[in-house]
Parts: sequence; structure tokens; C-alpha cells
Amino acid sequence: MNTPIPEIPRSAVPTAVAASGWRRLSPRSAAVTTVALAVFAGLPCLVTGAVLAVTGTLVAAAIVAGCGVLTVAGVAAVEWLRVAATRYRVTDERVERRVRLFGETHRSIPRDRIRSVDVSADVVARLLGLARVTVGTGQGDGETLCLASVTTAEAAVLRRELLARGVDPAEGREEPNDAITRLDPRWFGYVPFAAWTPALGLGVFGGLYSVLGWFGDDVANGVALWVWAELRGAPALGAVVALGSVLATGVLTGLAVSVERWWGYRLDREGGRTLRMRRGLLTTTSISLEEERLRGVELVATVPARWTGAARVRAVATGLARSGSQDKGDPSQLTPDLPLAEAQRVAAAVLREERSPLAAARWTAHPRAALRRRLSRALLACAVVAVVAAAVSALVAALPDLAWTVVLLALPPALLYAAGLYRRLGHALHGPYLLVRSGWLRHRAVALRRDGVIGWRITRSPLQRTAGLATIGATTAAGKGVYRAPDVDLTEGLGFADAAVPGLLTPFLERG
Amino acid sequence: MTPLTSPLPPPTAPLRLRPPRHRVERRAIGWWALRSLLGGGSVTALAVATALLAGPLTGPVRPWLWPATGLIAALALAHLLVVPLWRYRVHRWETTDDAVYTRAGWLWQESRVAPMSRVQTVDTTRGPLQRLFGLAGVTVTTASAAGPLVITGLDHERARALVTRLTESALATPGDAT
Repeated sequence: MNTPIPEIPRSAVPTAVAASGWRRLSPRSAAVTTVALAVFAGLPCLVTGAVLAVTGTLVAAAIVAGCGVLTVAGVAAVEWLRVAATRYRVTDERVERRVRLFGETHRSIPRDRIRSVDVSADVVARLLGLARVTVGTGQGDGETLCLASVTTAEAAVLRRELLARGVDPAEGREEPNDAITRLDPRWFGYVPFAAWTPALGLGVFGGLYSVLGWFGDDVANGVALWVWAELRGAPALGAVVALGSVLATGVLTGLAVSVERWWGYRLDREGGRTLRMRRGLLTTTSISLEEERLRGVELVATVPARWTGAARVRAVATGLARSGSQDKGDPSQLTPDLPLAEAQRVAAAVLREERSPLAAARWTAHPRAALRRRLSRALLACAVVAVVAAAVSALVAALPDLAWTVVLLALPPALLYAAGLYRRLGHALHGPYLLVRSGWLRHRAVALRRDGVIGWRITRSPLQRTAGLATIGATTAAGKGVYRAPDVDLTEGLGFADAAVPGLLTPFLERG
Repeated sequence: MTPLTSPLPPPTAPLRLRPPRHRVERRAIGWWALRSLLGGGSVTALAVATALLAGPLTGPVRPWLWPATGLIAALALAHLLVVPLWRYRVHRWETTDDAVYTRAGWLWQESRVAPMSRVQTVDTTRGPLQRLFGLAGVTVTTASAAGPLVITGLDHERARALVTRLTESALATPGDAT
């Protein structure tokens, strides 16, 4: 059906961008691409060609030099053609982009439908004063219009005017911009506790190994064997050094990546109805999110950063989940890891509440049966591990009977994990929000606007039916589509769902 | 600004989801049975072939090969005998002026409710097997990424009428479906 968004009558006053006709992309980026290619690819080919010519192999010289020049010319020509063939314009009603190369592609987005104008610029683009502008409708990938290189000033004008939907520029008095939060450099202190720190460290060492491989496999393997021999010389010290260097490298890399991504981070409310996040040290990014699309917020905390009191805020918004165009990461992530109290403050500010519903709500604990389910799953997992261990011990004669050792080692953490999972379950209603939370390694607590709930999905497994439990899922157009309260008591859960969206479930409920 | 709500009234008697009003066509049992037969049959055939060929190809037959094949065949037979009837008891659907309500599954059961105002598209789907039984399915999509509501095993004329009716209701109900 795809209901058209109702036309909002626009004032006839032409805006600055609307007044102009078809415009071209900036040729600066194509120029730089050409120069860079010529210097880094064309020149080496020519030099090699010259050397070959002097040593007398004229055919080879001609081939190398010719190929180099042709490749550079070809790639540069494509770049120039792309820039030359692209035109865009902004009229009162729509934004259009036309690429006339071999065929013609024409994309046009009605201005009423524009829900986001994102601006990003990598290092080269920033040096050139250029930026990439992505105009989105909040309908996913297909509905975006991307202008690869416009000047920074032009990008700023486009962003402002295209988002100023329905605001009469003649009256011009928008609400002032409110700062929601700014980067506090102390937040980078949470980076070492990210779950992927060890993986990052290993990745760097893996990368080093493959770089060594460029000098020949025997060089790489030689170095690796030498390191191995050195570490084996003193096993205890070796293990500490190996672990330490991997972790240290992981921490440093993580810090570098985080600083690059989140430097200059700020989150503002612009014109009283758009959230705007800006961040980036080398590649700068500006992401706008119309509050109209916001259906709630989510707090995510992952172990081990959660143990240090860190959480991050994500937006639950429509048309955001997969609309992130190039290298922007997750567009719904509104903040880096920050202190929980600050995260709650940001969540409250984003929702325009005095207190974050996630902090203020009285959470309903899930029934004991939910705990029993988690404990029995833990026991089952341990039993499987024990059986496997017993089988391995039986098959491999050299091994002692491992089953009991494995059980003794695995049981306590498994039971603790199960209890932790249960303790972190919860659901609640608080004002206009429906709240659910779950997860232990990655704990997520969601506050979803009740008017953003567009249906229910209630699932029951055989064991849930015998235990009188159900998993109640609220479906929504935003975020991941369904937010679930796992293993609630059936009566209580249905009452919860019925109270959350009055009337929707009522005709299908019965007592007794 | 928002009141602290304590939303849940004290339960007097246990609350249940009542089953949706309509069963699917009885013919759907045949369709599910045929599906089970084809699926289970091909797995069993594969197991038998393995057991038959394993001897000549790889030397002495392992002793557990035939019992395993027997187990697979028994499971397939049990699935064929039990699941179609079980599904027929579970699968139900209902539409009101305000909502679509479905229930499906057998061991794991799923009930879905979607308000008419949030329905985006309504389509019929017919696979070759369903066509054989004169059946069709109705797919009701909302803006949620959680997937559409699906009613399978309807008489195909009835499905078409249902789609027409749902489309009209969805159009008549105001709202932008998100």
C-alpha cells in the first residue's frame, strides 16, 4: 500500500537553494583523484618504462608505460565523466539528481518525504572543502539520494534548507538549538573494556604477520618462530608478555579507532524537532534524525564495560536500521559508551522527559519459572559438555576421566550466568512507554512509545505452556521490529500487553 | 510530567488468549501431510540409500547404520501422522473491523495481532502444493521488520475475498501505518 505521506502545503516563498536550477558536483575531487593517480600510479609506470627502455627492452618499456598511462587516463576519465554527467537541483517540491552517462538515471525525492540529510567528509574531502550529502526518506536503502562531492558550504545550506520542512522561512523563527550532550574525553576510559579489545589486539598482530609475508613467507615464518622460541624459553613470563602485548595493542588500537570516530562528538536538538549528531576526527559525520521518526530509546551495556558502569544510547526510530549509507557505522547509535547516569540523562533528553523512563520505571520481575528455565538450560548445557568430555576420555586412552572435572569447572559459571540472565529480565509500563529489558553479556533495556506498537507476537514453546509462561513481543515499525519480554507469566503478560495498547488485544482475551 | 502508572490490575482469574474464531480448511491437513510425506520421504530415502550403498562402497556395514535409518523413518512417519492433525488444531485466524488475529505452529505456537490501521499490504500466496489442494495463503504485512502475519490453508476463493475485504478495511482506516 505504501501510503503516501500527506502533502504539506509549502509556502510559495522560494528558498535560497530552491531558487537555482540544475547544478553540478564539484570537480575538485575528480581533479585530486587524477593528480593522485598520476603521481602514485602513472609516474612509477613511466619511470619503470624509462628504465626498461635504457636497458634495451623497448617492447616491455612500451607495454609498461602504455598500460600505466592508459589506466590512469581511463580511471580519471570515468571520474570526470561521472562528475560532468551528474546534475542535481532542488525545487520547491523535490530534490532531483540526474546522471546522464550512457543511459540516464534520474532520482527524485519529494521534499515532504525527506527525513534525513546526512553529511560526511573523509580526510581528503575535508582538505578540499568537500562533503558527501545523503538525503534519506527513512524508508531504507532504496530511497536515498547521494551527492558524492559538493562544497562544504553547499552541504550546510542543503542540510539546513532540506530539513526545514514546513517551516515558513518568512516567519523564520525556529526554536533555538538545544545541546543535549558533548563529548567528555573521560569517556574514552571505557574503551579498554570493550568486548572486542583482545580481538583487536590479535587482529593487529595478524596484520603484522601478513605485512611481513610481503617480504616472503620465510621472513614471516622466521620471525614468528623466533618469537615462539623466545616465549617458550620462559613460559610464565612468555605468557604474560604475549597476553600483555596483545591486550595493550588492542587497547591502543581501540582508543585510536574510538578517538577517530567520536572526537568532537555532540548531540543537539535543532529547530525543536530534529536530533543531530556530529562526530569524527578525520572523517567527520553529521547524522540527523527527525523526532517524528523516533519511537523510543534503547540502553545497551556490554560486559565487561558494563561492570565499569558504562552504557550507550541507541535510538529506536523508523527507517534507520539499514539506511546507513557508507562507512557511518550504526546510524542509530546516539552516543559512545558513557557513564550510566549520563546515558539515562541523554535518554531522557532525547525523549523530552524529565527523567528517563528506564530509570524511573518500577520494573516487574519475571516469575520464578523463568529462573527455573534458565537454570535447567544451564544444567543441560553442562550435561552435554560432560557427555562429550566423557566420550573423549573414553576414546582417547591417554586422557584421564575428564567428565567430573569439566562439570565442576563449568557448572558454577553456567549457574551464575543463568541467575544473572534471570535477574536482568524485566518489563514495565511507565507513562507513554512500554519497557522491556533482557540479556546479560549484552544487556539491552528498551523504552518504546506505546503508540509506536503496531501489533503483538505471542509465542509459547511446549515447556512454556506447561510452566504457564509466554514470550510477549511488541512489534513496531522502528528499530529491530519486535521487542520481547521473554518468559512472562501468561496472565500477567497479557494484562501488560492489554494495558500497553488499550483495546487492541482486549477482544481476544478471556478469563477463566 | 508523566504519571507513575501501575498498569496491571490485580488478576482475578487467569487471563488467556482465546483462540481465533476460524479454523483453516480441512483440506489443509492433506496439504500438510503431503508436505511432510515429501520432506520425510526424501530424508528417509536418502538414509536408506546411504545404508544400502555404504556396504558395497566402503566395506563392512557399520552396525548402527540400519537402526539409525529405522529411527529416521520412524520419526518421519510420526511427523506425518501427528503434525498435520496437530497443526489443524492450532492454526486459526480471525479478522475484526479493527484487527487481524492469527495463530500458527504446533510445538512452538505463535499468536499474532495486528491492528487494521497499521496494515500496509495484503496479498495471497499459492505454492504448487497448495494449488493442488485448492488452497491459498494470505500475507498481511505491517511496517514491522518482525515479518508479516501469514494465514495458510484457506480456500483460495475465500482467500481472495478476504484479501479484498482486508485491503478495503485497511484503506478505510486512517493512519500512516507506522
